[in-house]
Amino acid sequence: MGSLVRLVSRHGRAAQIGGLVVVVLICLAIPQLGSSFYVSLGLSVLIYGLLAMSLDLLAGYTGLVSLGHASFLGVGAYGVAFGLSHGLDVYPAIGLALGAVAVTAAVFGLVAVRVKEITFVILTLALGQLVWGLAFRWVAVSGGDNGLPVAGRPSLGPIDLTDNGAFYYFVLAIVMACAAILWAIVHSPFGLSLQGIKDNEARMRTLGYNVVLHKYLAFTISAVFGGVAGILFAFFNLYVSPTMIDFNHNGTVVQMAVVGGLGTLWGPVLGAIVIVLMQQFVSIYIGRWVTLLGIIFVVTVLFARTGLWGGLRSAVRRLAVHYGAEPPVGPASVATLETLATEGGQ
Amino acid sequence: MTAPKRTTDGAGPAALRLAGVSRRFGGVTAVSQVTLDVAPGARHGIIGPNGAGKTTLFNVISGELGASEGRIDLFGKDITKLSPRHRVEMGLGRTYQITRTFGTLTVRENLTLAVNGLKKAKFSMLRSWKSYQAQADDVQELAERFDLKDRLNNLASDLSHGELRQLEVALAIALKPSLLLLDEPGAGLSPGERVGMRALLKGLPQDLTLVMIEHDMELVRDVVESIHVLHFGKVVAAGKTASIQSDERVREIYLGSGG
Amino acid sequence: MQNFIQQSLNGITYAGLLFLLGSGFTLIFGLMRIVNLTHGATYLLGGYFGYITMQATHNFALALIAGMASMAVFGVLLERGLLRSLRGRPIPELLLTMGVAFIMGDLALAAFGGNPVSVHMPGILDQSSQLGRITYPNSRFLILGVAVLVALMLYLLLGRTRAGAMIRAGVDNREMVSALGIDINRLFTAVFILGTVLAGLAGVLGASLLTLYPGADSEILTFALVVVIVGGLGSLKGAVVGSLVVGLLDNYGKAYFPDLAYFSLFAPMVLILLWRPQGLFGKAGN
Repeated sequence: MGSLVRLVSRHGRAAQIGGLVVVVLICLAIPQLGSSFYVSLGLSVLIYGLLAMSLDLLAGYTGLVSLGHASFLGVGAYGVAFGLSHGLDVYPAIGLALGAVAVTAAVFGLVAVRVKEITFVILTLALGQLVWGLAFRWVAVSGGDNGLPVAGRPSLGPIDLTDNGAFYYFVLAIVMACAAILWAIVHSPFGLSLQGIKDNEARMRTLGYNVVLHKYLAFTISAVFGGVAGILFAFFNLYVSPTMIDFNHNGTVVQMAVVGGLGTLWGPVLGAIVIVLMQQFVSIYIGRWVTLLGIIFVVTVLFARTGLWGGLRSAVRRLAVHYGAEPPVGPASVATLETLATEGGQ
Repeated sequence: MTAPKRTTDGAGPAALRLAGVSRRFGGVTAVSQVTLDVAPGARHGIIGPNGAGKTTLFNVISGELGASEGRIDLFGKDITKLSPRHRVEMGLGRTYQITRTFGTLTVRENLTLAVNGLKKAKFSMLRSWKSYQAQADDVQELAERFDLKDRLNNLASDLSHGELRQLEVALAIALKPSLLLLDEPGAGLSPGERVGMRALLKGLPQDLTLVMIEHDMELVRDVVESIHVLHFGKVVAAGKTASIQSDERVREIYLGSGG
Repeated sequence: MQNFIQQSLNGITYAGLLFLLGSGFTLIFGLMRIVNLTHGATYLLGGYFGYITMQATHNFALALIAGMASMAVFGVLLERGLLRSLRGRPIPELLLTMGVAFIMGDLALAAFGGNPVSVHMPGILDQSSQLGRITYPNSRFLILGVAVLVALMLYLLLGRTRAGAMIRAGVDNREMVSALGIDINRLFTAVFILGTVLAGLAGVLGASLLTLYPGADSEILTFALVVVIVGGLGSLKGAVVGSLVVGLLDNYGKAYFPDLAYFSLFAPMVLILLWRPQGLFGKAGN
């Protein structure tokens, strides 16, 4: 055990890559288990994982916690469903959905990045409810409470994606590509600027940064990836309804990111896995899923401030120190709930 | 209001010129009718007891606060209405009395943010910030100059107070300003750290114009050549460092207000 | 024209209900910087408590008292039991209240089921009055009356009492309050309870105006949020004006553009924010 810990911490980079390979292998293996249940569970995890990751760019790295992030899942999904039910082919419908997401993000972002952190949270919650309200009431477009069916899935040349197994690999490829881009973004100069903004917005301004522009870009990028998750969701679920973007679901996305650990990118994926699996398995035994969700939320906020990923990371550090190895030098900043908007009144 | 001519090459525009600058908060006038000229390359001090409006004046010059009246010129250009960011782009840098570094980031990340501040690369999204060699070299050079090279991988929040003051100045210098506003660089430093800070300030490039707020008269005497004295937001004395030091009124202000 | 007057009256009475929610929300935020997302669930649960009391006693006054008293207890428990340990950290506080709101909404669903329930006001309140050519239910006048009364009381409380002076000082400058040696814990709890009591009161009144159902909590919370965003966080005057703007716009929207009802509410909000990011009466610092 000790030597393993020393090995891992001495070769932090290699360990990370090794871990990534293991994760990819597990992802690849899921359809081979032969259970359609696991495949659809895997699809849920992938799609919500992407959604939570995209939120992390905004909440964990920029310090802007959006309580309306599921709206972009909604706009993406509704865009596809609307396009398909109005005679568009699959790919034009996807284009329509992406366009709708970009326009929504551009408009919402215009207002949202101009207000302070805490008002941002409230405002995004209100905007999220606006999207929900439109989905619920604007029957002509959204089908209202009944939702809309999604007629058809994309095909890749000869590969038929109507089968969930093949569709799973399609989604896996897209989610991994998106994850890679998000990973690149948070490690880029732009990503670093977002962390600077989260830490001290005023100082960034006097270092020559156009803070509002950077926040706006982060908001829009985050939204577009959320929209991609929505498009995938539409093709996965083959049906869209207002429920998936209501208050509870907006909260659930935040919860995935918080439970997993904000500002770590992988943490929110971990959070998505935990929440999706719990919803599937625990809710069988405990009828009141939403109550449980609320309890997890309260417990996380009160006791697990760095989330699961942060907890894992510090556990590895402690182990490493215990076994006399140098603690791994990683990205030093794990966003904790503490570091977020501790001066909301400023 | 005679600014000492330090540059020999003559009659270019002043590095900084304030003409009747005031700042009011509600009914309180924090800065009142301040006029001053700082020649390019000059080292200028602003002293005065606590609450004299020195930091407010800096905030007005840097644009973090608007001026209620008056005009501010930077190297001959009117910047009175410009945003802080545009003033930074025009070569204005500043440090803060209360350290404003990025505590949740490492020293390397702090310096990289500053080095990138005026570069297009700050918008680059798909390449690791660590892969920019020119910036990495700048960071390394700054770290060596400001005695932080062993601390590059530490979080700024783990630095000692003295190191934070050095980082604070390094962040401002990273932007290669032509005019640097230093807000009490010696605040809270131990006598030993003060010696280091003095050496550091004296080692700044000769063509960099400095305007410094400082309480520590030794540091002031060693670094600056001329001084404005502020009291209740007004300029009450101005001149060469030596003459200000022997000025009776200045002594009175300092003794009278206990500061 | 008659329809327009009718809609305007509806909007104003709805504004009364929204003010009861928005004023508490904005006071809690102004003083403690807590964004209390249980406010909608407090409304719903307070309403349900009023409903049970009404079923049991057929006494409307008792129902009102039950709604307020139960939520006062809840307010103490939430503020002292959970929020206190997070003091001064707005995002964790907000997330915590969101978790509690989930629990409350779900437990209400478990206890009261999915069907809407309502409280019928007794006697003369269940009848209508004639105003010129317009017939208008007395129950709505009661709601408006209560809202005006509460607004007046809050105005007097804040403007004329020592506690009010402390609250105002705290909203302006929180450091000052602790510097003045005021027992800030008691002040915080008191204001928090004031907020939950007003939400409970709104719940019982809302049970007669709008009926109670699962989801009513997040719906009314949204309206309360828009009220304070438009009016400006932390401002009582903002809550009054915000309530009127939101109440009227919502009713005109529902009446004239039923499909886009939400849009007719949010579009003006977005415009106001583009013009004044801090809301109509908010201070730029927020």
